[in-house]
Amino acid sequence: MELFLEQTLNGLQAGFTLLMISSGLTLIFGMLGILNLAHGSLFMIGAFVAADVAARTGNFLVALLAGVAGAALAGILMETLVIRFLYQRDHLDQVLATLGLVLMANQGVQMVWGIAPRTLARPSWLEGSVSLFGLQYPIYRLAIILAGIATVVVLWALINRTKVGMWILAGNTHRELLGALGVNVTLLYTGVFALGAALAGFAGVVSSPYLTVEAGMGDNFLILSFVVIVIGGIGSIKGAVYGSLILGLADAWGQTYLPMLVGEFTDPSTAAAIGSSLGSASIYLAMVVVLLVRPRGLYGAPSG
Amino acid sequence: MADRDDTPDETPETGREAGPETAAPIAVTSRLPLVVTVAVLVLVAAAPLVADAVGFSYLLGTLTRAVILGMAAVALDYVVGYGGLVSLGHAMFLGTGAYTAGILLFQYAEGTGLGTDQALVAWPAAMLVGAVLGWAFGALALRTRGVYFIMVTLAFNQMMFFLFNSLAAYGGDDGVRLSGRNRLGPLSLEDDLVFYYVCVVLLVVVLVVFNRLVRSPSGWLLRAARDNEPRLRSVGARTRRHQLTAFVLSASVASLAGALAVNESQFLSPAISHWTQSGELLVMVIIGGVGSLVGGVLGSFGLLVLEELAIEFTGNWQFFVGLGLIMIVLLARRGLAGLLLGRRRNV
Repeated sequence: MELFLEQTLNGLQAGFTLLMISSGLTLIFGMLGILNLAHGSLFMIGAFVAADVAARTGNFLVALLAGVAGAALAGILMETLVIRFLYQRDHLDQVLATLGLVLMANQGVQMVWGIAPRTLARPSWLEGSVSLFGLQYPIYRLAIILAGIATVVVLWALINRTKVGMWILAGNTHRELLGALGVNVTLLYTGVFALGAALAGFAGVVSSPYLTVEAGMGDNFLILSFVVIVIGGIGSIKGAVYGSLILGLADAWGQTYLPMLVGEFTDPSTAAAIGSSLGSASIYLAMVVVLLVRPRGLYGAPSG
Repeated sequence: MADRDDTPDETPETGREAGPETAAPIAVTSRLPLVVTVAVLVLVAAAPLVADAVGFSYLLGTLTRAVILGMAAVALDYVVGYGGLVSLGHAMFLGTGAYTAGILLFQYAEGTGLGTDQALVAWPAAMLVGAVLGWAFGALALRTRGVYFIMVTLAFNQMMFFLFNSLAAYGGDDGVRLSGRNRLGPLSLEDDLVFYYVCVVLLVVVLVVFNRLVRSPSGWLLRAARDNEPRLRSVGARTRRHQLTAFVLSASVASLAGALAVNESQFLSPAISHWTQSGELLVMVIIGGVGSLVGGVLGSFGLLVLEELAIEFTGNWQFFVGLGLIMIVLLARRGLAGLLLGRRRNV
């Protein structure tokens, strides 16, 4: 039972981290129609900036802010210099150009910060653990879950309760009309891209204590976000929320229970090997199930 | 956002994506005249001799890689250019072929388990495994179109990448060095130049096969489905079957390229199936000109030369390759083949 609770919380923490990345990705696709492979690079840039600032100031909050701002700034640069010219292009061109951005970013962080991997420590005030139903659980992981919930609430409020949110919704379907009403659509697009970039940067900073800050660290998160979007349906924030949580939990439970399940049938060492590969594959299995049942995702737009 | 309820409908989408932007159909270069294909192949065949004559014989390895990856790019172009299906997962088939041939070779040398050093067994085996995986992944991925197809193929690519990484018996993520190349009858593949020409001959065969396929009824249907799938389905054409056939053939040839690649490097490593390699294959297709088949070969030579130059002049070659890619997309839309031919569009 304690194991189940722990794995569930771990799954939620991973899920909410993914949510911060995939919600930005899906927002950008829904509005700008861009498939941005460089979204994982924004995650990485946030982490690098934060690691650098933390090493200089020793203050996690300042580092967090700097990381988010750095990612947002990188996002604005990307949008104005490259992405903007891809809106009317086919997906192939978008893939190629954003892959170019990925290569530049991966090499760029090494040119600025060197090739040695960096680390970012948890803040001292989030060290330690709390007792939850008899389980000692790290405070920092709980904080990520709370930050994830806060992200969902803020995004929901932004989109459903503000004028900017109304523009974003309108821009999804009627962008010429929105422009005709006097909204600066170009600026709005840049803003949405920067918002997605900031969310990715935020995810990059808060995940860094569990990762090594190095080139390419965001790639796997990018691909997992794609799986989230395939599960949830593209362009749908609601889909991103459910998709992220399903994926986080499927991974955590799969990694824990599949080896045990296999262990019932074979000897421990084989079980560990088979089980762990099955566990890592569980997220893709989840995607396959969705593809078979609902090819356009749980909340995807109807076809046609 | 778009929280409209989905009706369980597996009819693939038409030109319209889920987003508001109706992305333009893929910009396709016209199929090149036969004379261009022949000219490219003559250049490819002459390349090692020229390189040797001007004192760049050390480039033979790079040229061999260009031929092998060019073969994979030709296979990918059949799916992307003629099928309109952008696969960002073809490196997993390179990996499949490499691991099939590589494991057979490794086990033959170690004397453990199933193994062979015969190219005539290992290479067809690689193609067979590639075709089976291509069928499984293709059937799943083809339930989607457009941007979903890109994401699903990329996800499968990552899954296979992690699978190869977890094969501890074959070096895990470090990979493992092989003790030599496959054996092919009386030919000595250990001789780099002989191996190069074996690859060139296979490339010619692949080009001939795909050129025939393009003109076959299945190829016509594939292209027609790219341009207007709903119309084709409404007249009773089973478009998905032809798309799956194309994907399986493409996967199989990419696996053959993977088997050749592991022979070239004599090093079995999961790096060959990294997702950026899938991206590079697409880059080759685009640089060469989408939907031109032989363009894949042009693109692969173009990209590898660009990389060699970038490595020559700077340690930060990836940065400049990335910059080059962006420039190509923004400035040269039809690729090298498009520049050669102007803007014709009569595929």
